Amino acid sequence: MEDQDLVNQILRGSDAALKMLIERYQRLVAHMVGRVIDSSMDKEEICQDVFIKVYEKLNTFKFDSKLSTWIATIAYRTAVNFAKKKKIDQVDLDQVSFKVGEEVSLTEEDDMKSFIHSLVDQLPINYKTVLTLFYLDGFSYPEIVEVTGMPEGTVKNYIHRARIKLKDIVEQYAKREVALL
Amino acid sequence: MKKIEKLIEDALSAETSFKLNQDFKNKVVQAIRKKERRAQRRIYLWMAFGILFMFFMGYGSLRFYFPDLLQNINQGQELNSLVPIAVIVGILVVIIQFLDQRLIKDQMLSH
Repeated sequence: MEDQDLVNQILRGSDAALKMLIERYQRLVAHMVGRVIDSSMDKEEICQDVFIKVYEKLNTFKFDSKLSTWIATIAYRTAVNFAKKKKIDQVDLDQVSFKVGEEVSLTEEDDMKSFIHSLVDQLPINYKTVLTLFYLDGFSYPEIVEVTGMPEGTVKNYIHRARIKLKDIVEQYAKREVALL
Repeated sequence: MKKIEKLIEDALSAETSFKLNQDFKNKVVQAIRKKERRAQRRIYLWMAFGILFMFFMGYGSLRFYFPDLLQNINQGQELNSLVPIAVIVGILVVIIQFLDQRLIKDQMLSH
C-alpha cells in the first residue's frame, strides 16, 4: 500500500493502517532513537512518543516530502530534546576521548563491527545521527538536511570528519594489535 | 588500509543492536487510543461543567434582574419548570459537539 493511501486510512480511523505504518517505519525510528539515547528502557518509550506525535500531526502532513523524511525529523527532534533534558553533553568531535576496550580481535569481523559500533556510540549526537541516516537508512544529503536542519556543508563535513576519526582509531588499534602479536 | 575503510563502511551500514519487539505496534495503538479516550472524557467533563455553569448563571441572573418573575412561579414547580430547559440546553450542546467533530473529521479527510 502506498504511503498516501495509508495516511488517508489512518485519518479515517483505521487501526490496521496505523499498525502498518508503525511496522513500516519502526526500524527507522529505532535507528534514530537508538543512536541518540543510551538507556534501553527510555529508548522504547521515546519510540512510542515519536509514533504518538506522528499520529497526532498526521493531518498536517501534506506530502511535500517523503513520509520517511518527515517521520525521521520527528524522531530526531524528540530524541535530541530528550537528550537535552537528560543533559547529555553535545560536545565537538575533537573533545571526545574515545574509550577503547581490550578484548577485540581485528581478525573477527563481528568483533570488528561491534568495536566500530562502540566507537560510533561515543561520537557526539549530531555525528551519530548523520552517520546513521547516511549509511544505515540510505538518506541523501538533502534529506539529512531536512531531518536535522543542518546546512548541507555541515552534514558532509560531519560525515567526513567522523569517518576520518573512526579510521584513525581503528588504524591505531590495528597497529597495536600487530605489535602485540 | 583500504580494508579498514571497507570495514568501517560495513559496520556503519550494519543493523544496530537496539530493536523494537513484535508487540510494539500494538502497544503504540493502545497508547494512542487510551490518550484519545482520556481527551474525550476531559471534553465531556468540561462540557458538563459548562452546562452547569450556564444553568446556574442563568438562574442567578434571572433571580437578580427579574426577582418578580421567579417569585410568581410557584415554589414547588420552580425546579420542575427549569429542568426541561436545562435538558434542552444539554442536548443542544451535545449536538453542537457532535457536528463539530464530524466537520473537523471531514476536513481532515479532505486533506
